[in-house]
Amino acid sequence: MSDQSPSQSQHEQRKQRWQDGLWDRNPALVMLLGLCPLLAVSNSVINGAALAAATLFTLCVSNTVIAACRHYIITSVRIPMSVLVIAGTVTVIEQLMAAYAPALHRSLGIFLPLIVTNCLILGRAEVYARHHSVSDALLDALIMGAGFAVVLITLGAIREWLGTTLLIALLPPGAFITLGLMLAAKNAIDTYREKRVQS
Amino acid sequence: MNAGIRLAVIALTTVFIVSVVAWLTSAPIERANEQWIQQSLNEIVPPSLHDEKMITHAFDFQHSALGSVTALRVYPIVKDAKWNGSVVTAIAPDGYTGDIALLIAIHDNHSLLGVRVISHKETPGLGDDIEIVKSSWIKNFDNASLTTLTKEQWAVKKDGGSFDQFTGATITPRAVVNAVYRVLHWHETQGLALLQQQFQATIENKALGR
Repeated sequence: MSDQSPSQSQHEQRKQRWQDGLWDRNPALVMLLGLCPLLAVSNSVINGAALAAATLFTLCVSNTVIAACRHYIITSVRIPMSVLVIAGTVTVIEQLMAAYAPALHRSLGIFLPLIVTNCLILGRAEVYARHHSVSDALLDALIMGAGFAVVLITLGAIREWLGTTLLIALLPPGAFITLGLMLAAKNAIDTYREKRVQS
Repeated sequence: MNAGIRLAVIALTTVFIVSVVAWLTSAPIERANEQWIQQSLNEIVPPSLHDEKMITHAFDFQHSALGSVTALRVYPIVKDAKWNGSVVTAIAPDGYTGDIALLIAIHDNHSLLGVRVISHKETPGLGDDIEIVKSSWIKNFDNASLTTLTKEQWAVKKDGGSFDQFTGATITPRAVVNAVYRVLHWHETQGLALLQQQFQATIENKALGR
């Protein structure tokens, strides 16, 4: 019993972290991080999915590297250090993709280098990876990347579907409006669930 | 001081890793690009007109009608040392967001074999229907020539021509249509002779070089 409860609680903890990342504290819907690339590339499912995968991969590499170097990183210059690691990672991914997946590289175009500007990645490096072990930071990257991917793909699907009849859905204003509606829907669901628990 | 040194170490490490990757991937990237161009060439030029690998005959050529001040690649369509036409790289400089690079395959009789877009920065979801993977619009150019369409028809429908524009994007297809028309016109008036001349010169240079 005694050696079962810590693993039980660890399991619970892990479940809670996934729930946080995908819903309760979703990086895109709640923390509103990384909205610039999110809004820019969400005009089709395939674009969204490809960029989500690239972002997830970048996040994993940058979180791992930063967690591994956490004792080396000095607080006063942590931001330039993190940005260097992230920019280097993205450049390497872009080069590898151009060499070994040229078709995907062509379809992602300008959005691939833009991953550097995704503040979600810098944000996780700053608040999480810098203070945790490599395995914890990698798990965090997977959870946050998955949370981001779900929103990106959903937004892409909605906009592509609406775009066939409603041109504005494909244009930048459409991205803002659709994301706003998604936020509203999430809040409505949360309020409804809260009310049900209370009554 | 200490912070500066540590930052410099990270910067140098990053530069080193990126340089190594750039060095390792430069050959595969070149190969991937060449393969892609070859694939596009095979799509627009029927195999009955050309030898095995078109890309091997390529030479560089500069003319203002091609839309660039620098020399661009020309791929002669050659079968058993006989010139059947050529695929020229041309730039449409008036896209919505900058240059659109095109491969334009022209038969000796001044009709188009086909056109493909090789690079552009047009708005995704709106202007990128010029890509063959997004829509078949670019196939409208197949077999077109200055005799099958009048000068007025070489325009998007909005301007009274015969080419569709895209919903929300007129500038992009207009730029492509204009560039193709310009190159065809040039090919008929003086381009063909200039290209053949350059091709002969390239062959002679190669022979001398050997």
